[in-house]
Amino acid sequence: MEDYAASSDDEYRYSDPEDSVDAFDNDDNDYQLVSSKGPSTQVITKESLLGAQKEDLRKVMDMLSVREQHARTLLIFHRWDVEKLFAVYVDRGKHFLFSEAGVTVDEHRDSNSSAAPLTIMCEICIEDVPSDETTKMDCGHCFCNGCWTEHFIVKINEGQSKRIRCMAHKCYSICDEAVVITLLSKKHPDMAEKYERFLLESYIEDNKRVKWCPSAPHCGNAIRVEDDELFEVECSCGLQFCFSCLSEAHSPCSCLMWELWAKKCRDESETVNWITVHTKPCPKCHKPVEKNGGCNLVSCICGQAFCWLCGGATGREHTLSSIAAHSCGRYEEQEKTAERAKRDLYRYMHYHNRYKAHTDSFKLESKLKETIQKKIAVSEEKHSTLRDYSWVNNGLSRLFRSRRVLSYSYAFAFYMFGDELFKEEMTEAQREIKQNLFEDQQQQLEANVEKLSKILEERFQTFKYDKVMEIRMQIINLTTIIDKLCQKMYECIENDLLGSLHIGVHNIAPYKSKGIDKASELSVHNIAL
Amino acid sequence: MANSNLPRRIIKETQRLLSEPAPGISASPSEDNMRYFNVMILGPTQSPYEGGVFKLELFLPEEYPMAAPKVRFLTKIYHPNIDKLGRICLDILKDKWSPALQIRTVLLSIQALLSAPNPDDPLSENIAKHWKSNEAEAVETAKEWTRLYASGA
Ligand SMILES: [Zn+2]
Ligand SMILES: [Zn+2]
Ligand SMILES: [Zn+2]
Ligand SMILES: [Zn+2]
Ligand SMILES: [Zn+2]
Ligand SMILES: [Zn+2]
Ligand SMILES: [Zn+2]
Repeated sequence: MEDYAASSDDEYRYSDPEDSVDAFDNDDNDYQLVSSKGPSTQVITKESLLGAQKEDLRKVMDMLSVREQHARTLLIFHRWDVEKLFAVYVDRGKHFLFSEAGVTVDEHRDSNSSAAPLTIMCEICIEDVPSDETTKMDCGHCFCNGCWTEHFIVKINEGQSKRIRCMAHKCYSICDEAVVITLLSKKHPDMAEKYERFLLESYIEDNKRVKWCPSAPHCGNAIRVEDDELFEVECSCGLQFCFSCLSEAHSPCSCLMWELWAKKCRDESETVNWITVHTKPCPKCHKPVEKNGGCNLVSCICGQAFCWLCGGATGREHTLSSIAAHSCGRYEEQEKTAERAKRDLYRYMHYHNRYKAHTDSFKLESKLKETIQKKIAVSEEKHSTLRDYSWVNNGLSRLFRSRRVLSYSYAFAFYMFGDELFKEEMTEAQREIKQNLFEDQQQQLEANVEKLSKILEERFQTFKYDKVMEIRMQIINLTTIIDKLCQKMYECIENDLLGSLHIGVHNIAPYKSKGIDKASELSVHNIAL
Repeated sequence: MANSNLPRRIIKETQRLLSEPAPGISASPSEDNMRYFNVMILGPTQSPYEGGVFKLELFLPEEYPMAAPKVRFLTKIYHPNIDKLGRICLDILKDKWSPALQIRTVLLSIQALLSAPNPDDPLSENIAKHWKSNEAEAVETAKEWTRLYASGA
């Protein structure tokens, strides 16, 4: 998994190590256009967690007319999937739903009406206990409060808070949380607190629609989604991430592609590969020696001569094609593997260089943010009639977004047209057609992005009015064209490339013209508690 | 005595284990630690362990009975649910433990496990494989081990 740098400190960000995989921090936040579509993702903070949970509890309580603690036990069992819970209710009935989750409702609670004996022998501690110091759970099993309390503590310490079962053998009933809290609170308020926190956090940890924001240090938030489609999201702390794999936003790479790519970039093995492709160890001193010149006799600085093809030590007497008194057998096989390794390495370097060029540009362009604000200020002074500079800001955010897309599109292409994932999926000819189709789009996008980048660097604040209007038109046009091209490239990826795959499902987060969705704050006060 | 603050439940259980022992099972607390029991289980009839006397140790942790007792075979035994160190794979000693269970029920369950090995939930991969691929041969090995290591001392 990726590490996330705390993204509040700009200085820190720009000093990212050269080869950092997470080259894109979330620098385009300030330029986010207001999303027109209603938000489908929400931030759950420490404060709103309780409210968020109550929403779902309320639905179940209303539907099944049960108390809150039973609703929670049911929801925990069904991993907070209200729809699934209701489906089980409809298909299998209330009795099945309850017993499956270990909920017993009030069947034995009213036994107080009959005259209770003064003392009861607790079967766990074998002590006679005054009956008002015993507790009967909903399942009907009654033990002394001391035993219950100890049982709860052991289970909480074992990490079983969310499903503490009754103490009786083969009773699968879940202990009523209200009872657990009441009994613990008497002597162990710290444990009661711990227990309540576990129950609360179950809403995040056992819920496939809610995930902790992966920020480090952790911002304390979780994100909730409405449907389980793959997408990328921005937490209110500013971190943008893939909801599915929780690493940095990586569309149009699928999660698997991104995982492989990030690993490949991190691995030193690629550098090691370069050495194995281009050098051979000296048979005497074992230093790597590069081949120089055409013949296969190479010499190490230690003075040892050896054969480049098999690595064996030789004398110095040789012709272009043979070395005296040396017969070399492993030529062809060695040459072949070396060739393949070299080809693979060059292929990776091709894609990585372009990937990196765009991440580097992105870093440089991030600095444009400040300079452009200054330029706008100067220009405003100069041309009193020109008030609207949204075209610059829109152009800039378009640039940031398309840089991301471009950069990740190289990692995508590396896997899409490589052997690692889809070798069996297409013939060499099909692959070539698809690759041409894709690269066509990619190149068009690339050309326009570079154009936009260049224009945005122009010193428009020094221009005359007419020239400013001209540059304004150019930027507006490019902004629109680039958006269209990104869209087209995604269509190509979704329909012509990934859409035609037979094995392995590769989903990618859809293209968002307006940038990655920001999760909205969950407004708790709207929820009837 | 060092065991003066022993819970009443442990005292009761111990008394009953000594006064009315379960057939084929004996369990007696150690002199200096009343939470540590020396246990002997006779190999059940019609099992590969028939005729064997198996020594075990049983220890009641501080949390007992909220936590399960710790039990281990001291005698070497060839059984798919018991490993080299004598550790036992038995659900009631793990997640199915209930404070309502007792030392007696645990030992009876272990005795039952000797009669009915369960190679589908193995602790010892190799023995389980042996058991599944050639049960007759595995049973022979178990008998052999019983003769070698458990023939009573
Ligand atoms: Zn008790
Ligand atoms: Zn019960
Ligand atoms: Zn966050
Ligand atoms: Zn992902
Ligand atoms: Zn050398
Ligand atoms: Zn030469
Ligand atoms: Zn050679």
